[in-house]
Amino acid sequence: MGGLILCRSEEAQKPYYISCLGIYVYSLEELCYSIYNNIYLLGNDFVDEQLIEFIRNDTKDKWLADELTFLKEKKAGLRELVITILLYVDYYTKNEVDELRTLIDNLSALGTEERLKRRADNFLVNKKYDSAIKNYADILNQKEHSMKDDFYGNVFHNTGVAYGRMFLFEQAAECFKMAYQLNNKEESLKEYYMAAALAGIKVLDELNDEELRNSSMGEMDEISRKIMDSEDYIEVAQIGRLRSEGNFAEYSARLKQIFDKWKADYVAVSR
Amino acid sequence: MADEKKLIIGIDLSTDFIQASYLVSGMEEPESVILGFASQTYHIRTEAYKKKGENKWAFGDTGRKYFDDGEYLRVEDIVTKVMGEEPIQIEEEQYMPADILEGLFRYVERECIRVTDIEKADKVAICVDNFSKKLLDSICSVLERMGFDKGDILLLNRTESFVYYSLNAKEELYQRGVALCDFDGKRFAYSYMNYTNLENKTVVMVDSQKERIKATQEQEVDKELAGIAEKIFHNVSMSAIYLTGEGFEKYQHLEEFIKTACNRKRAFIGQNLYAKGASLGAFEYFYGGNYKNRILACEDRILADFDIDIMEREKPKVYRAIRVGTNWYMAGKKLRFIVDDAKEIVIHVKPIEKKPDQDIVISLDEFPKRPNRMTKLMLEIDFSSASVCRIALKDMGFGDFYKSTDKTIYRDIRL
Repeated sequence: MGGLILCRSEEAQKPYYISCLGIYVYSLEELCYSIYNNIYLLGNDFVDEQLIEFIRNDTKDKWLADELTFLKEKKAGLRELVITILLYVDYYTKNEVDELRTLIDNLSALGTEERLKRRADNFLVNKKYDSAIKNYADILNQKEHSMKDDFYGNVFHNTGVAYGRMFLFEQAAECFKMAYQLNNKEESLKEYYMAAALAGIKVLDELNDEELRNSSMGEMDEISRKIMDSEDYIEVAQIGRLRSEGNFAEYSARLKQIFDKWKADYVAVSR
Repeated sequence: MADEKKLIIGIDLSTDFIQASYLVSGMEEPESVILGFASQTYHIRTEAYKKKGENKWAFGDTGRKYFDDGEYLRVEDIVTKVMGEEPIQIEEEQYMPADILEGLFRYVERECIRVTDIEKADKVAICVDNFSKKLLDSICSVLERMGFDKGDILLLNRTESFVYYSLNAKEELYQRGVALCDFDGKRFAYSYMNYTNLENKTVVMVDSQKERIKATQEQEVDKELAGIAEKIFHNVSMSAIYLTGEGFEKYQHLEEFIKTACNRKRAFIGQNLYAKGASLGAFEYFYGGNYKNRILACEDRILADFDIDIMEREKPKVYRAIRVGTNWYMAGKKLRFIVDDAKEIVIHVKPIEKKPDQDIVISLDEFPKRPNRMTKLMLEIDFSSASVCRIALKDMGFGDFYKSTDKTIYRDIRL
């Protein structure tokens, strides 16, 4: 049953920066949202003195700040601290908090490499590609490898996806190649072909499946056609027309606008 | 230790005079503060005095003496000038009336602190005889400049001060109703406070009248006042009557009036009722709860509850945004809500008088569509009088996740 949830604590004038997520929060509701949707990304030091002081002085919630201080003195872990916050703030339902509690418990039961992969996957889904790549690398650099080959293959595959979305196609191709060699999945091979084509590098002979390659190139062509119908492409084409019409002032202005946006977008995903 | 105690200052600010009282935690009654040292009076004129050729100011008897000696210039009618908002030209310089008022308030505050030996006032209440938004906004602004938080300020009218003063007295003094006669020499204002029970609550009502006194000779004034008293007190029983105002000091022999007005009731005369009422009002407003089951339905009070349907811990609930009997200037509210699959916001306006309830429904269709629980709305309820308010519902986005569009929907309500 829907409705309006009254925010009981205050909106901060000065936001709190969650460094592990790269975001600013102004309220306890936003803090809850950040916790709930990024639980894999939170370290044991997430609830620290700075966060507690933000809760106390900026959102003016003395009770929660005191409670977290008390729990920290009792050496409570991340699970207990975040669940306290989520149960206290009227944002998520009890069922939703219970689900998260179960998720955290399940995470604890996972091995180090699996937990790291969940964390890295979460960075990938949230478009934090640079962080995703670093975390995937952490898995591959572990001293001990306890998982099967296809697990590491999938790690390479996702690393390739992250590189691809940052337009680093050569690195992406190398990762997809490693992925296929470990997981033997057709998907990884197809991505290898596409990344290699975009990077302008030659596919290895031993990995060259002509039929699959042609099918992959066909898919790329189809994607290219769809891109030309997209709003973003149409906007760029319109800007190009301004130049050919001699409207240089507006052309420069709109071009700068679009470059600034792309730059900001790229900076955001390179975290 | 003195500075652990809470200090409330109550100030009565009128066009002509200013008076103050204080209440320290532990005191049962507020005490008046002598502001006029030479004359040993509680009140001083609402005037300021500036030294010729210097930006140096004085107030009260001291300032008056400097003015009489020719060293200082006088600024009269400070309250009227504050409402006018125009700068005042004094010698070669221009001064904002609000700055002069600030000087006067600081003088009063200093005196209250001096007699109580407490470093800083915790709360302040200002009672005014002209409850206009312009004046109240200016006063609020001045007090904030003096270091008071908005949440530590109470502004009230004289009727409210009278009510707080009366209700703080013994019950036998208001049980059958209580009257106030305020006479400044030209204007006679009469207020009668009584109460009635309504659904487990006590509604305190005040009827008021004003008359202009034409006579100036004491005997004639007495006759005129007695005539008015005869009309208004005829067949009205009451427990007590309070007499206040300069007029009762100027005219010392209003025998006929006294006989008519004070017959068969307790009578009190004094000039510090409003200032003390302001302190008592502040105590009730900030720390009290003595009047929990009482609704003050007097002038400048909102005579309706404003309730909003909300969800709390997944259960539907009614949130009382504004309580009936709240002073309209102090009633303004800013509330934030998270939209959890809601299509509209419903505000129920429920008057206590015989008027129909109003349901103000604001559809959320005009706001941006976002994932659930990722839209915050700010609801602002702002009164311009006891019967008129404007509701503004604004999209606040959701922090850095979704920027605010600033889209705002307005509704005007007349009670």
